[in-house]
Amino acid sequence: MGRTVPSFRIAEAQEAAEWRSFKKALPKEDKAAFDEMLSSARLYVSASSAAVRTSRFEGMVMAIIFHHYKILTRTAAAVRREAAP
Amino acid sequence: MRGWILDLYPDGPGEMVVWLKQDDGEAVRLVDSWSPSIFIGTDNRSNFTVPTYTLCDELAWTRLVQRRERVTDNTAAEVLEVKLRDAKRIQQVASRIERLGPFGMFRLYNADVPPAQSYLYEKDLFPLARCEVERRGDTLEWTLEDDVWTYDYPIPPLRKVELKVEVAKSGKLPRLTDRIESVVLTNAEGTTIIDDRNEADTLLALARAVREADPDLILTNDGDTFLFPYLIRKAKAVGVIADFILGRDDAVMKLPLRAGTSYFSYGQIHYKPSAIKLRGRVHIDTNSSLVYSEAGFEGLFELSRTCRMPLHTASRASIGRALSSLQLYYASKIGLLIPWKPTLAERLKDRSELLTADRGGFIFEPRVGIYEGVGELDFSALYPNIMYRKNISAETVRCACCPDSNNRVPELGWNVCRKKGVVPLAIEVIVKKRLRYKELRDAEADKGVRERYNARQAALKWLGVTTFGYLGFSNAKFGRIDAHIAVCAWDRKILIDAARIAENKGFEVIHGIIDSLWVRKGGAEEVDFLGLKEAIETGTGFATSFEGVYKWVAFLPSKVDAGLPVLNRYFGAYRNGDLKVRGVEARRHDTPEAFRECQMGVLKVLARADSVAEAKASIPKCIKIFLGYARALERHETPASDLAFTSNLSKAPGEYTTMTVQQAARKQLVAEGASLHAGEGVRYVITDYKGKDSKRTIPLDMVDDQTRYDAGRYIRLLAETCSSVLEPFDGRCTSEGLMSLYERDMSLPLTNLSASQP
Repeated sequence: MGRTVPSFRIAEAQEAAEWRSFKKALPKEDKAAFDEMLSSARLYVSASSAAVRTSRFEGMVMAIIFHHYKILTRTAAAVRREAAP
Repeated sequence: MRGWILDLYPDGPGEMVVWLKQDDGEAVRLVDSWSPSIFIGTDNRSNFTVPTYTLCDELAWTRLVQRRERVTDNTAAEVLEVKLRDAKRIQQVASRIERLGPFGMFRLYNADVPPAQSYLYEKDLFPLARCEVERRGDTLEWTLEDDVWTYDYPIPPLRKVELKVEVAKSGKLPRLTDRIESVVLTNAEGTTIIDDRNEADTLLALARAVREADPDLILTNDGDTFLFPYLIRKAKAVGVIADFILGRDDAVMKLPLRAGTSYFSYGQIHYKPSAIKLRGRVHIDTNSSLVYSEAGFEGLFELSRTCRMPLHTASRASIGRALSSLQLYYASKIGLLIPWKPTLAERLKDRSELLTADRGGFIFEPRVGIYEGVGELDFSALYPNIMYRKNISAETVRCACCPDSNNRVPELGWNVCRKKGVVPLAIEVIVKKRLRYKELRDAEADKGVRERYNARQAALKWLGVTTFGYLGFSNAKFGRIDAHIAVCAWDRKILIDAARIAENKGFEVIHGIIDSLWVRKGGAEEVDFLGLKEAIETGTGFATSFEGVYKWVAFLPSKVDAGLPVLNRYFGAYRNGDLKVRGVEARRHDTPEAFRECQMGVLKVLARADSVAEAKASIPKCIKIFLGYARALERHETPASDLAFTSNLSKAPGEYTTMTVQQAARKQLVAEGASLHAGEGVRYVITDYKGKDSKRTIPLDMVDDQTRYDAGRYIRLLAETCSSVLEPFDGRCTSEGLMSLYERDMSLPLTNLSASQP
């Protein structure tokens, strides 16, 4: 007995490792940005796990999109505040 | 005759020896004519004749009885009860029966229950139970005057002796061939040192001294691994083994037939030496007794009574084994047989169901940073309570008899049986007694009594924690992964419900893990948190404890990626000044004592601060502590024993291929003749971190006055340790920052440090 399905934390690390070739092909200055993007998915591991998707990539991408959406809306609000007379 | 059950074990064929500690302090040996039974199930009744005739030399008698074969069976089936002649041959007889037919022809039950435990289950007794006993022919008739459920039970005054042996070492480590230098016996009356020049006389004098002191408990440190094997070998070598008797029985002391075992548990290899038992006295090896180290004598007595395991066994048993014993007792009470080789398989699930089901408890990722005014609420013994109150057991989850039960597993919708399962039945005593002990402890004014209740509840706490793991453990007699899954599903629902309740009351969830929530709300006082506690209890139906409000609490980021949170790595100070520290070096078992002291010293200074700003202002004081410890290291004033790291061998010493610091220590120990096994702990001091050979470290046991540790390496590691708790308050307090401060101020007296602090 024991766990058959790895926890999303482990699954996500496995998924990130599978994108190593993608990272390898990036210019040097983009590598850190790529790592940072993948890391942002780890901020929502519990939510991705709760979503129970058959593809771990889906949960991970949804987390990244959601994180970037939050940053975008906050940035937009900040810009609006700056631009306000 | 009245007294307390002190020890019991099978002796000659058909004999169970029970030592009764009487009111006058004397221990009396009683012999009961008894032997255990094995039960055999088969699909064809005529098969029963095969073991009955083939093994007639081993069997006292056989009979057909009705018992529940499998935990999932609702009705009893006809099985053959086989009463053995000799309890000590139970495993051999079971193996012979199994081989009498093709695999599966004979299903064997109760074959691996230790005979002493079977006796206790059958007679409804337990160790240290107050009883009246009467002899009726060859048998004993017991009347129990005690109850496992009692909270204030009298323990007879037990005579204790501590036994130590000094070895005249011929090398750097003591060896089994070395001479005995002296034997030291310590009891309430004082210390006796036996240091006869003749080893045979020393051994005989020891046996005499033990006989005269007549202790009930003999305490040793490493008695199973070194002390007793050493003394037994010596007694054999000098020809006095026949008179070297330390037990109350006249039995000759023997080395165990089996070597110790290495086993894997929760990601770590552990080593368990074979036990050396003294008949009629209880040998407690403090080095290999988890329950004794966690909860002392009171915890050991509570565990032994509750789980119905002899004190010898309970003192060495893993908590899982103790829990198994408790479950086996309750199984025997409801006529359920105990499978020798459990075959209860996981129920088939499709992919979607498996993905939904196979998840752990819920976690709200911590929000990295330092916060003020955060309150902590913990669910009390959540997993044991889920199992008990939601009736989670191997046979109850998705039972065949109650498909329309209202008790459903969240998210999965699985039905749970209406009949009480064997796990909830066994766990009731743990849940209820622990709660009561905590209440008694909190209401008690007398310190000694309070400590007694606390030790007892601590022993029960470990049992509760293990119950959940055992539901999903492949070797558990009554485990099934579906039950384990059901508990996690309930946990997720409860924690998410609790967080929603908190949010609806205006609180922000800072962190949540399995059974604990950290929440805050601007201006919230204790009364607000208590209101939240009540709302969560009403909403979820499970009791919580309010741990307090933090003056400040730091949730730490990953050491690899500073932007990411790490679970269960935090520290904070409650408003009453108490510290709570998790996941940092001071909490790790492998951290050297000097590092633990230094980090805790820093944390205590921070704990005096009432706010984050005040904590930041106290950083110079904290740095002074770091520099004080660093200078002591530089001057080699810190004792090497306070700098020992501990690591467990993950494999046998010969299997290592690279010369890590740990391997360097192992290699030296093996060269000195030490016998190491996977799972054993090795303590070592770093002597030359950058060196390439086995002199990089030295095992702690080989440290002497000439040993010079690698002060530079230790100071660097100390800087990392202090940085773990200082950097969250001041970004300049990285390990490099602390190192440069140390290097800059090395030549200054400590009083002039303030000028160089960040």
